[in-house]
Amino acid sequence: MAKRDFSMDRNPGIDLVQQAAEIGSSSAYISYDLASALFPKSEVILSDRMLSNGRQYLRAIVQEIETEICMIAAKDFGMQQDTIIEIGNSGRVHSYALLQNAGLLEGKALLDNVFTSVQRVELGSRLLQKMSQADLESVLTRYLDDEDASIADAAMALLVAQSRDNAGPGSFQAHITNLPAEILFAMTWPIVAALQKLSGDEGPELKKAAEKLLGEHDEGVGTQNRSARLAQLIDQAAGSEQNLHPMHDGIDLFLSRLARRSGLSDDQLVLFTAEPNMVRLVLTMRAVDIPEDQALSIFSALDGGGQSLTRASYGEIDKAQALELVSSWSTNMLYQDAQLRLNAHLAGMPA
Amino acid sequence: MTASGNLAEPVRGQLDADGRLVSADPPLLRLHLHCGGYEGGPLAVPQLLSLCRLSRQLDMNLSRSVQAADEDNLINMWVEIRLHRGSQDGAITINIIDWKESPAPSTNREEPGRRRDFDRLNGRGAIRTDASLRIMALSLPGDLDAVENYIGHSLLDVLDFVEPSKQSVLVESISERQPVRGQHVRQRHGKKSFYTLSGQPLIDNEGLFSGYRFSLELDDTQVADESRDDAGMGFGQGDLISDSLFGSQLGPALRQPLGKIIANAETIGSRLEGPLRGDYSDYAKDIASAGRHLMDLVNDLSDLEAIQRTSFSVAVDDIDLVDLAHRAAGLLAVKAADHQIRIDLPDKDLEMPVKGEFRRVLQILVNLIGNAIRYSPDGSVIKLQVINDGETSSVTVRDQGDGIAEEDHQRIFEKFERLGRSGDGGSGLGLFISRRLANAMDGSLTVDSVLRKGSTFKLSLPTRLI
Repeated sequence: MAKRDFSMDRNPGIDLVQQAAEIGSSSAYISYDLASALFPKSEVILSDRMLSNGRQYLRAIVQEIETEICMIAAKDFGMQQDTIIEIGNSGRVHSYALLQNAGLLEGKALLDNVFTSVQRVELGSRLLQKMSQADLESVLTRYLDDEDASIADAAMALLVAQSRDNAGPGSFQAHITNLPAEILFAMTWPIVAALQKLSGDEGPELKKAAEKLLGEHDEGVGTQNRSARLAQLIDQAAGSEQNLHPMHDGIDLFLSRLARRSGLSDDQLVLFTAEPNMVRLVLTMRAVDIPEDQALSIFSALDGGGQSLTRASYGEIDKAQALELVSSWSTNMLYQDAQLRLNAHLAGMPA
Repeated sequence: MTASGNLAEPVRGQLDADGRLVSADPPLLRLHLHCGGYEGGPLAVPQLLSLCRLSRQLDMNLSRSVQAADEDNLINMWVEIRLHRGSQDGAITINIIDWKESPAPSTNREEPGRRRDFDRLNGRGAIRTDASLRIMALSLPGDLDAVENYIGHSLLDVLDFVEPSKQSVLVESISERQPVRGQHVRQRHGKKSFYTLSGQPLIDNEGLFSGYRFSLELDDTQVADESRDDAGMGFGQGDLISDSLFGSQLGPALRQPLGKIIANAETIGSRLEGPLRGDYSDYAKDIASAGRHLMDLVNDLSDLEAIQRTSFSVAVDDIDLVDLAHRAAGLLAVKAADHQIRIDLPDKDLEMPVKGEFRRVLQILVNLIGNAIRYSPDGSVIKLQVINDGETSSVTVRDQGDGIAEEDHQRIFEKFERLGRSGDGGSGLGLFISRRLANAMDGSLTVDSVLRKGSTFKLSLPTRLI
């Protein structure tokens, strides 16, 4: 959760009575904050770094959307409202606090997207402990010379997308180009409403600008979509079973290829890597018949908690059982969520 | 074979504002038609349709991976949905790049449970046997007695083959683990119904042959006649090896529960009907193995009682020892392979015609080769040879085991004689029964062995003049 700054030093001019009122209303929610800290509902441990990255990611996305809307409104629809022009040129976020206080940044789909984005960064930094940045950047170049022109083309597109995302080891730049259409849609309209509130302008320009932004969005150029396309092409090529490894393909392509083979989504696999001992990832690897040596190596490349996967524990996983479980995880997510909720009060009941 | 779209030329289609596919490149049009659409009609490819709907709902362009099925092919596509604005508002262009077709994975893997259900639904009977063709489970619609009487018996003991089908054809198919189709058979006892027999070999999850699943379709063209031939004789009262008091009364009472134990334990152990933890699967295999041992003992005791009866007799068939040696070795090939034992057989082109009863000679040879496998070191060779001695012809089974001391050469043919061995699955009756059977066919069964130099068992039968 983002920290709010109520220090008197920072805002010496603000009326103490007003501050007290604000703090009072926010403190009414202290039990919610404490409950989520004391009684987390998932087994995933969210480190301070991930929380910080999550905040940074959300702020960056909100800022990019609001900036884009304001600039389109000014340039394409002639909006000359001062606040809008200032927001478009300021280089910092304005509507975040409003959206946050209104609970508009708490949608499940949005937060799932935030989580997978920061976990991808986490995985990238784990991989960098095992191989150099230069090696990591060159992993995809091998596909550039592929005799299948489609593969070479898709590899080039992915390289371009990745170079756009790279902001140094273990870090990232949030781009709305990487957002799935549904997430961008779900974020844009609350931001439009917040901008209207901030500017006091309820004219049609901001809405038109939002429509234009959404209409021009091409999710096909996002990194994950490009890696999904390359994974699809590689998997159809002969001998594609080999070399399925993050150190061979990089995180994005590795996840996309494993997702295709297992019937799961990239985001599910990202979640698996954050779970204790990455047990669901291990089961997925067993289900898709990844050989023992390769699985052990993949585990060690992705592990960030000093855990290790032993030959014996991987070997004794019953493949049929693993397949059955993976297949159950690949069913409709709404159905899985509903099952989870319905069984929430029954300790130990499988989903 | 994989067909792919040209990188430079995506497959295109266009929808009007009402969702009708107003133009489409040939591959997309074909898929649309195969999905039940018609030219100029609403887009009928479900996966593309849902993308177009989402695109309209969000008022956004989409780019996503899509998989569709067209007859026997899977089509992997990368689809770009582009919304038109302005004068063509509401229209959608579909660009499909990377159109790749590949054969769909086979889905006709036979689920044993489903197969059984279909058999029942069609009024067919079903028989499940183990690797040595012993009946482990069966269902014959309208013949409950058969269930009680057949469990534990060899399939070849309970069915007669009706011309033009021949028992030898079935045995050959089975020894080569081939499917069996359209064999005409008749119950030897009970209702004596005629059936058409078909079967599939069962391979367990470890890739090993574990028996057969047969289906029996009632043959209405032939009329069953319970009173024909051996009228009034129940199972176990006729010419079977196990036609004895033990075979007719105590035997069935033991065989049926044992057969169920073995069949279910094998099904569990082989994971034929679902996943199971590794150690549980091993327990199930242990149960099946112990059950088979008990079943062998029950059968041996039945045979023992039968051959000791004065009325015991054998049929005289025209048989060939080379042929039977190959068939017996085929039935035990899996067991031999488990111990990396090679069975060296006489050339298939050789002929060694003799007189004897087909299934009993087969029984003797299976017993001799089975013993050789049991008492030979892993990785050794068992050699079968045929010899013509004029009036008699013989087949010898030579192993590289520990051998038998000369003073024990006669003892091993005595009842329950194990030479102090135990725990190896033998009952001590096999050689006794085999020798009695050989003698009943005017032949002999002898042993030649020296300690630590292996053993050679020799089955001799009267030569058949051609």
